[in-house]
Amino acid sequence: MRKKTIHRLLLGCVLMSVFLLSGCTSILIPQNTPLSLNPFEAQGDNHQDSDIKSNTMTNIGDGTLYDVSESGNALLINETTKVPPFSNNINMLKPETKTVSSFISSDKRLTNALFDKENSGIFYTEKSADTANGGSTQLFWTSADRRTTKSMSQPAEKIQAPLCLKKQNTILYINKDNAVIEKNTNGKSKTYQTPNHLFIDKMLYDSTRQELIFLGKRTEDAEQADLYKASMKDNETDNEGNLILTPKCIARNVFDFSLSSDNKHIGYISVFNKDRRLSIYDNETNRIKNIAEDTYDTVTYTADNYHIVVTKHSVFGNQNYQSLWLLSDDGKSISQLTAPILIMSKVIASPTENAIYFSSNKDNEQTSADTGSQYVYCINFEFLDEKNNSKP
Amino acid sequence: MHLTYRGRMIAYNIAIFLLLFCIILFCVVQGTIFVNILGAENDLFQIKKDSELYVTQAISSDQTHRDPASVFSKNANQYASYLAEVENQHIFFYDEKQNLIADSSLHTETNLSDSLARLNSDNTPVFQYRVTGGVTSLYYLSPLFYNDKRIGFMGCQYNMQKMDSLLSHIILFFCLAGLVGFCILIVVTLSYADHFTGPIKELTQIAGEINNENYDAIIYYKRNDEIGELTDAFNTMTQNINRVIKQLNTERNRLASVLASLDDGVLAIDQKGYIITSNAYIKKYFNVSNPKTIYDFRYQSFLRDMYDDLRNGKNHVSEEIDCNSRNLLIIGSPISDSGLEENYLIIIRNITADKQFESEQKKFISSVSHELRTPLTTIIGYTDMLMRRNVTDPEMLNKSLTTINHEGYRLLRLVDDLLNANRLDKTEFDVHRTNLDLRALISSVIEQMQFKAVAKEIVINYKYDESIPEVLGDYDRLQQLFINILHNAIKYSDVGDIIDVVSTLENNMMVTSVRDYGVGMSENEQIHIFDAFYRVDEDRARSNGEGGAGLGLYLVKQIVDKHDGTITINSIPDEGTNVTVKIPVINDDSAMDKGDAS
Repeated sequence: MRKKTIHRLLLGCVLMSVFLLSGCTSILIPQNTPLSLNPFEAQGDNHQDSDIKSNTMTNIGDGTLYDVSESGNALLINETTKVPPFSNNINMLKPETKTVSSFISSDKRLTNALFDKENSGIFYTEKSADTANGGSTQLFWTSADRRTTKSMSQPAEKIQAPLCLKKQNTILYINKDNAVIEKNTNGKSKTYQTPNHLFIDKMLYDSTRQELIFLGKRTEDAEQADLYKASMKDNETDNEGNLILTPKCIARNVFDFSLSSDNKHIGYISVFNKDRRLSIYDNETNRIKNIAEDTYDTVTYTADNYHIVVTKHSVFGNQNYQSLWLLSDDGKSISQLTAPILIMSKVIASPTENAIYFSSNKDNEQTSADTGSQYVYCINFEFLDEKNNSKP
Repeated sequence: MHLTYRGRMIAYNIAIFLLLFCIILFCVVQGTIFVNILGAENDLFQIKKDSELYVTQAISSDQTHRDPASVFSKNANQYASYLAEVENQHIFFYDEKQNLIADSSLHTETNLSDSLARLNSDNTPVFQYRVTGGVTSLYYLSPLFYNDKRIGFMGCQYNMQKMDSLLSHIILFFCLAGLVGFCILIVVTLSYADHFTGPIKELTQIAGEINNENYDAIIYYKRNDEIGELTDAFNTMTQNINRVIKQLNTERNRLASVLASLDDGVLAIDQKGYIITSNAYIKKYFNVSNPKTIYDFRYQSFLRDMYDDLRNGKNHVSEEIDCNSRNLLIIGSPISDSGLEENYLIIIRNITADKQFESEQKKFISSVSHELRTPLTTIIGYTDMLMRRNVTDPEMLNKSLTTINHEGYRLLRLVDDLLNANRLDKTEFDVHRTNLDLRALISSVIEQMQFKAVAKEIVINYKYDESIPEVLGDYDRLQQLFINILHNAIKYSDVGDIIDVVSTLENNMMVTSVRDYGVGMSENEQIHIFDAFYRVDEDRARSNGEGGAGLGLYLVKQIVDKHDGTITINSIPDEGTNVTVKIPVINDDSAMDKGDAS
């Protein structure tokens, strides 16, 4: 074999070896060498434009947050005593003064509570451990002065979790048959049936269009729910004269949704490939605008109706922990409000201020909300644009 | 080691495959590492943000109203534990003095002083890519700020195990795929190498057949690609070569037939003495078969000498030589054509017949001269005498005139014989055949010759077969033939002899023999008796001044030949001569085959 051929073969073998050996280690990024990241590189894909000037997170009390009043000056908190006699309490927390006043005390579990529209009372649900009724949940209303308590539902109804205020003293709840029951404190009641008896996870009432907006599943154990809206104008009845809701599907595979206070927009989180997508449905034009994609969990409209608070979990971190983010409704501004924390309640926006409230575990221990070892936090934020800072 | 074309094709395919495999593997691995690191940087930035938010919010909610740095230092372990649980990463904190104050992992042995030094100088996050114990990690360090004041540093060891695992799987599957691909490549290349080299092998085989002078070989290739074009061109070339070869062979055969048809010997020689071509006369004249060089003519030095003369520049050389009882005229000249080297041509012409003819011609002239002189001398002698002597004697006058007249007629007969001999070669001598009774003709001739026979008291006896049919012959020529034969028989018989003439039929031939019992002739004379102008000595002795040109029996022979017959002479000196003439008779077949040769 000629020398030239031998040299070529050797060179080829060397090159191949270099390729093979070097292919397994990084060449583009050197090892054991500190490399500075310039600010834009450092942010990578996380470069964010924020319209928040500042935000502060304050611990304002203990307990699990359930609701905020129409005036924004009171929070309904659930707390369980640690020492005997054990009781479950629904307290009122004044966020400004951080003072707590007891409202309801029960030996049963208080699973939910809502201010009525006029702040004349509170609707709440009690879950009994009555084995005869299979541990049913019952709805009550207690007047603000705590003198009057009315039973809004029968134990046999075994109402489901979702509650929704319709109007002044009227509440909507779901019975064991997946029917939507409308009842007011005067006892008047209506029953709405949904086609195929959809299992409703969450519902909100659009008072402007008299529509019920809800998350419904065809089966109880279905993984994903769809977002529907149905008119409650009492126009449609079935053959037997029962009121029926004819839901119109807005979006599929929705995790959570929120209705703006002016009832014009519905923000919702749906499945999008491996992530989730935050979208806004315009109630007037029926158009959908996609805002952002990320690992969102919950969505809440703020009082100004132009911002949305979302919770997001980390892909690589512990997915039980969620961070709070504030987005503008066009998705251009995004601000992180908290580090990942254990959020143990709904995230509720103040109807009057640039503030949000939620409950998180004390010492960030992963305990269930039922144990009540939680703090109530308030995050106040100030926008860069002064106009946004004015109270809505 | 010399690789065949097929071997090189296979080797190149394998080399290209391996090279591409390495390049792809390199790009995939490096790309995967780079992408994963970029992704990790994004995650690390988020971790840093989460940490900063958490720490600042925790410090804000601290109600001890201490210095933030102090609060941070005091609660750093708690913060690190919480963040490690939240982010699922190894978190550690440094104070402002770069002392490690908190570490979520208890077994960290990492020295990040170089990163901290860099971080301290420009306050931008720093990361370091490390592989420790086969585990890849990204170490990220960033300053922590509270109200725009740096209170310390946070660090994170981002585990790249997923990337390592992914790379391991990638490399494993690549190697498996490479192995499978390599095997498939070998199989496919080996099978397709034959497909691609097949036409080339066929071309080679056809070229070999052409080399073995099989110019009819054709390659069949269906596709219209580069190989198809090559095979088409090759087939066209083969057909052209075949056509040209055939043309050359035809020309060569023509040349060979032309050379063979020549009456002369031909010898063409090149500059180096090799024989270009020769014909059969070369073997005939010189007894040399298939000469290769001029030097094969070992006994024909005159040829070699002539060749040397030509090579030395002589333009034309000719020489007459005697070789093997032949007279040969050798003529040599160069063959030159513009652009071609000079070759030489030697023509060998057999001039033996010419020489012989020349010799006979000389003899004839000598004989004719002598024969013409004799009567002319007599005539001139007598006329001189009559003129000079003024002879009045009637007897003398009569004798002289008679002699002059007699010699004149002799001259006339001699001239007639010469004219007849000349006509033999001309077409007007062709015989005019008719059916004739040859017995009657012979009887008539015998009748005519009686007066000469009677003068010498010779008796001519004629016997013939009654069943002899007619012959197809020229009456005048046959008459002349038998006159000449009988004339000689009478001439060479002694006084009182008899001459027997017998005609019989044998094998469809009329056989007539004329037997005299005269002086006969020797064997040598018998050999030449039919030659033109040949005269025996006895003829001169018995001519009585009436000698001819020696053409009598020559004419007889020609006439017999013209009649498709034969003539033979048997003679014994002093016992006589028998001349036998055979002429074919007319039968049913011969009447159809033979015709008037006019």
